[in-house]
Amino acid sequence: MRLLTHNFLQSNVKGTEKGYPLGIERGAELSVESSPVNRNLVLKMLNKVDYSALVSITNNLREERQEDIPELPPSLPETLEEETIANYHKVLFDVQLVNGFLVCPDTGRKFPVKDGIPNMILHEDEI
Amino acid sequence: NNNNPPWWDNSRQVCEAIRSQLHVYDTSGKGIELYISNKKKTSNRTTHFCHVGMRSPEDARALMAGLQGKILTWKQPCDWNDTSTCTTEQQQQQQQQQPTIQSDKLFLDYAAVTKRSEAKATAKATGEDLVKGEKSRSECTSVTKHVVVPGLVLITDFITPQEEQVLLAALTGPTAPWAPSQTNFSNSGAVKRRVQHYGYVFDYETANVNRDRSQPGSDCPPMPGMPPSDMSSLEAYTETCTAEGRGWELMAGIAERTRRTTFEIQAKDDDEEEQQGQSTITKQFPKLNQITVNVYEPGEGIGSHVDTPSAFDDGLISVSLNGGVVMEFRRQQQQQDDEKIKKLVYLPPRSLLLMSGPARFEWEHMIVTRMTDTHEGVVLHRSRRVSMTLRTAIDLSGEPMPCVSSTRFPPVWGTVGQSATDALVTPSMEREHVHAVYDAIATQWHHTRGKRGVLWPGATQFLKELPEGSIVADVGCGDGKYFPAIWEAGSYVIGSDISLPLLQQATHAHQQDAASQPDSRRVSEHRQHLQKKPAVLVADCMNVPLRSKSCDAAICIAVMHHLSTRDRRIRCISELGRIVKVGGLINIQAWAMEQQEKSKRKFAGTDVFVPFNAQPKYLEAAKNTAIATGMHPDPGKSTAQLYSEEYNADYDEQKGLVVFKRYCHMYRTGELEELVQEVDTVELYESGYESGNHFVILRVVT
Repeated sequence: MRLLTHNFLQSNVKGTEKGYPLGIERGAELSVESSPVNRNLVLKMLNKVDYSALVSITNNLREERQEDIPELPPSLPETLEEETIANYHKVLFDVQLVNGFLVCPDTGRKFPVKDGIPNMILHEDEI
Repeated sequence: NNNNPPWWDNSRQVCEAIRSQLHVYDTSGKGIELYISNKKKTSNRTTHFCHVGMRSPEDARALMAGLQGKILTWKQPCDWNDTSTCTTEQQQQQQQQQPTIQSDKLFLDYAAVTKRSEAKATAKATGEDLVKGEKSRSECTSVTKHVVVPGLVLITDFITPQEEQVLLAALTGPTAPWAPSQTNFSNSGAVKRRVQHYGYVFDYETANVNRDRSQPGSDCPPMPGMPPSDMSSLEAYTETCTAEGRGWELMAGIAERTRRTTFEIQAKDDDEEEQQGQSTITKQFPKLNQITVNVYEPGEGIGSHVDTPSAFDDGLISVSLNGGVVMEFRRQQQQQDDEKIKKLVYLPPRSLLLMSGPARFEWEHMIVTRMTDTHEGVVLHRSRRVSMTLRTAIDLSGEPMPCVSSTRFPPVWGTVGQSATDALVTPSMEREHVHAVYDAIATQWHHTRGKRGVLWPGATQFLKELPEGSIVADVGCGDGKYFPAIWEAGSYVIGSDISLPLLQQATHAHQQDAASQPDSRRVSEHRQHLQKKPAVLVADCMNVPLRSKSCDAAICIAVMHHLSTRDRRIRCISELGRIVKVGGLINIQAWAMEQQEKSKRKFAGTDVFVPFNAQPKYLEAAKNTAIATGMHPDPGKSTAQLYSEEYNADYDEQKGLVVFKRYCHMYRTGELEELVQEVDTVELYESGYESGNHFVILRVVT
């Protein structure tokens, strides 16, 4: 699961106020592959994402994988260097959560991610 | 002859003689079973019955087809003696001397060996090789022509074949509200067949009607009710319901038609003189407030009884659907005589039978458990009969109880549908007949449907027209067949589905496509990367795990027709409206009740099971995955066993297919639009019909 996808996910567990953004539990299996940069798409996606959530999850992951994951500016710069665009591309498209858990910020409910597919199904007492 | 009894008095020899002519119908190789019983009927004449046990219904039918009405001649069999064969001259001579016997015109009838007699046979253990058959001799209805049951009225073609189809779809289809409290009776043995009460529950243990609907075990669906505005145009109402496949509403119309029917009843008793019997009286039963639906599979019947007089008023009405049956009537009080007065009445499908006056209070009625009936000399094989019994439940003072009815479908009663979150809990119907089915058939589904890439042109066009770089939610994406169209349009798709196996197909498929694309046809490397790892989530469309107002557009294709209640359909639309930005578009497509002339699909009702024929080779893989992941409860079971038992599927032995039953709700024209009106966040932008599907395009307004 890409961090781009992660940026759109929220927890709907009963009792959550926002359920967003979801944390990624420490020790998760990540994969970071290089892929060609689609400049156009990156720029468009940056307008769609919740920027602070993107920065905070990137910073969290950097605690474990500093060498693979670039640092992002705390707020979206007005003009973007090519290198910064490449960094955004890497964070949005190349960093993938393979196995691990997503964590609801309000309730602590963990959603398992297996082979890149998160399971967001709620139990009957959670709806 | 020679002072010896003739050979045909020896049951064993008769058995052998008959066996020699019938064994050709045995395809099992296990041999047939014969049982001769001597039944004394009158003092000077003995009637012999021969029960023939075939190993399969197919053999039994073949035998009946081959020998019905024939006259057979039997010779003394050769191997009549245990120790010798017919080689000696003496025996050959003896054989020639012994005359042959000839049968009458054969009358053959058959019954399935019931569970009870099977149990009996097992109890008898190994010593006996003969199973006594069920009582199966059916008499002909024409024999009882002279018997008149006063108060009995049969109206043929009370409903039309079209109405019958729509009613059957509703009564035996997925939304038939067979209350669990009543299925329990079949477990306790009080009632073997499938029964559902409407209005008031009839309790078979106490043989009375439960008048307080709030008591546990007394809650049952209300009577189907008609909107008051349609009461003045009943026929137009039933016609519309039939055309639109609305079974519940049609049932209300048929009940009302029954209430309005004026019955002409022969008032004479059979003791009276013929000429006196000209007097007919007319009656109506406007207070009918209870319906009992029974499903009689071939071979099932009902014991002789009079409906509890203190529970139901005069006027018992039975409408037969799908299959006909011969009903037997006997005078309740009569002398203990073998020649009981008995009337056999054939109830054809679509007929209405009224029992009134003496027929209701003084005559018992029953249905014999057997596979065939004989009507005017013709043997009729029974098929499933669905009967709708309409009665008037009365209170302790004998006054009709109020008619508890509802125009709402599916009907709501008891604690069902009371709280707001109920819509969010997956009903067992969807769990068993949608989710479990797709999990099981995911591989084949993808191979035979998704892979071929049959897309609705309207949906593809919708995706094409979205601005480049849109975030598109594909809610209920299945194996992701619309993903390529979204990537093609330069957008990013997040797919969600409740079935993990289908999502795995989506992931696997696009990975393969990405790898196998020839260089010349290569899409950008970037797109290839997206394709390798499509964004998919396991999620329920009742609770889409995407943040509000985050997506530019959403599609929901072929999903809504798997939602089994109106509240859930509305919830699905409101979830789509929540996740999409203001101004964004939503495309919803669902199966239409109205199918095109050339379509092989025809739906009898709005709520139906649509079969999916699964090939075991695909299921095998699913089963192995289940074992490997520890999800499989019992690896020892065969694939067919597993799926027929645990997934409520049928097994077609001949074709070797497991037939899954997928629940589907077919949308009528205008139904999606009507649901959309219930959701404040969206407005209707466009709607239409495309190749058997209705679609709506919505714009998010808040």
